[in-house]
Amino acid sequence: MGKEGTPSSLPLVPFPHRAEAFSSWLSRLAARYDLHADHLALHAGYPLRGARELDCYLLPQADCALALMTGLSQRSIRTMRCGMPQRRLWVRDHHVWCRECVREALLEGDEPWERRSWRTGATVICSRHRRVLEEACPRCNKIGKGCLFLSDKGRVQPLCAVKGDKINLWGDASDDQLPWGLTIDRTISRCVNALSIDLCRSLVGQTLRAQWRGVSRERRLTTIIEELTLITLITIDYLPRPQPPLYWMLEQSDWKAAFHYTPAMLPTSLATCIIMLASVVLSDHQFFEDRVFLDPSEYQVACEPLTPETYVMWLHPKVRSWGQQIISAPFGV
Amino acid sequence: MCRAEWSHLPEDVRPLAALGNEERIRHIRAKRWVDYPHADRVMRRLNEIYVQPRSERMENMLLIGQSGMGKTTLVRKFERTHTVRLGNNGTCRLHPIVVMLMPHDPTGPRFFSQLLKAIGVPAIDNFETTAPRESTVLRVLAEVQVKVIVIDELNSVLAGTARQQRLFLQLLRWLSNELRVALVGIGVPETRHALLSDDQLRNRFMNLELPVWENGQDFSHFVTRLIWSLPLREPSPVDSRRLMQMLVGRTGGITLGTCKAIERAAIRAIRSGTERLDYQAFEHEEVWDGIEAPVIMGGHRRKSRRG
Repeated sequence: MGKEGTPSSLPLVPFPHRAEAFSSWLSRLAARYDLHADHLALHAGYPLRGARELDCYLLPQADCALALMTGLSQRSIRTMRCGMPQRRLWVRDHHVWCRECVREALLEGDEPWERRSWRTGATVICSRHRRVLEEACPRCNKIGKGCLFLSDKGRVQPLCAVKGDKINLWGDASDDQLPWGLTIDRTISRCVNALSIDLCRSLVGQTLRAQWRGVSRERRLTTIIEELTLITLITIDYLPRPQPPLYWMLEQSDWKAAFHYTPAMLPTSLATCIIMLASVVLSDHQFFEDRVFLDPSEYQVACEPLTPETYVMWLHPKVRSWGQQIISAPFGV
Repeated sequence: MCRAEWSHLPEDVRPLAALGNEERIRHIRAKRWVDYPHADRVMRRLNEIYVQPRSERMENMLLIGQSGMGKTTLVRKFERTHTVRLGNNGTCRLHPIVVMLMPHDPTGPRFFSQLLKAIGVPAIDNFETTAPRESTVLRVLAEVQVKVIVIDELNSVLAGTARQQRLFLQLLRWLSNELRVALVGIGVPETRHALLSDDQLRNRFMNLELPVWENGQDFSHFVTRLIWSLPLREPSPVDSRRLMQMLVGRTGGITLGTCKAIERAAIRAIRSGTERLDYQAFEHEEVWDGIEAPVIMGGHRRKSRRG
């Protein structure tokens, strides 16, 4: 500790990358000293929650201590956050990544680092490489073990947490195909990106850039996507039972009532399909006429053009009218 | 009172003399550096140690002196002059000189933990299970480009068993060889004994002593410069032989005691309104509270030489 009980300044501090998540930078910082990010967070005065939990919590006093320790401005530390505590369910608990982005970082002699956008369920496709984000380790094929972002020898390294050896990122991803016959082309990628950007803005309370059906001052874009997620999950009869984050549950007076399914809780391929469907049905569908095809039964014979009407027809009868309400709402602000 | 009347003060101190009593007292209590010949000599040697090229066999230094002679202040000043901040691919504060405090027990893990703490690396709370690894220490020290490791209170090595002492000295030798860094040990005169059990290491250390003050011209200059830096509004006639004898006698020639006595007398002079230091100012017993000549090794107190 330095003077007046403040932590002393650290000699080695990596600069945060533009658009890097707070937890990712904290992991890289802790790696310099072979420490765990949680240890370093605790040392700076953050409550014991785990460094990844801090991605959506602003703690000005601890941010100030960390700014003193690292020489960064408090503003830089604040802008690395990717959501607000109320939107905690939109933040992923496990690592996802774009293989090409990580490769580029490694080719530049850098460490693997996580983009802020990857932390939330709002982002499913890499906007630069038009690839669905990966979540399974190419080495052990497991999800959520921390693979690819492990601290070793003073840096974050692309290592497998299960097998302990280096991950080879130079091949193609084993399974890059989306369910329901959906494919990503330039047009749909742009629309998905537009929706992802607006979802990220909605998560931090910023105004949206595009117009989407049903959005109003009272009804946020995130709420509409939560509803579309639920009705889609009901239709495919897949209702996962995610473990809600403990600190989020403690902050709710009735967490069961506050709980909503979000794309962050789903496998990225399924989340991608839901965001793709949403991007089509919530935007001007004439723009996509005969461009996006849907094959929910995956017969690969009768792909039909994806329109709001075909989407509603596909929905389970119990939720069809709900779906109809969503797609027929006027374009919002 | 106009500024012209404070012509006895150096120009940078004159504005301070215009301040109120409490502000001036705060200034007197603050740390300051006063050059003196012994300190210059030590600083020159330290710089020699610093500029030597990295090699397998670096020249080391053992700086010994009685407690309160200003050894730590001296090496801190040396450290401050060689800290660099770089900004490529992140922030890196280079630490060519690391000043660390010797841990209370001379074991490797505690030494490494203290060494990392000295350059600002957070201590791990659960020390027993996660003591810093050698590899971490070597890598971090290499990254901050350490050239000199200064170990303050090296005499704490003597607190360990003979085996612990041997192992610790081996560790120092290994660290010096591995990183090609110079070591500077700081301690009381008994520290010499700490190095006796490792011939190889002892041969690499140059002994340098920071002696206690004796009544002479150097001491007189030191006291004059020190008093000159205090914002007292009247000139202080302190160059009398009797006063110098009193200061050396009652403090045993220890820098800390001398500075403390002068500070207290100066504060008293401000509070009483005399605004000057002379022989009478040091005759008050409260100036000397807790200041004693040091006890020498045999257990005898140094003969008091009151003026």
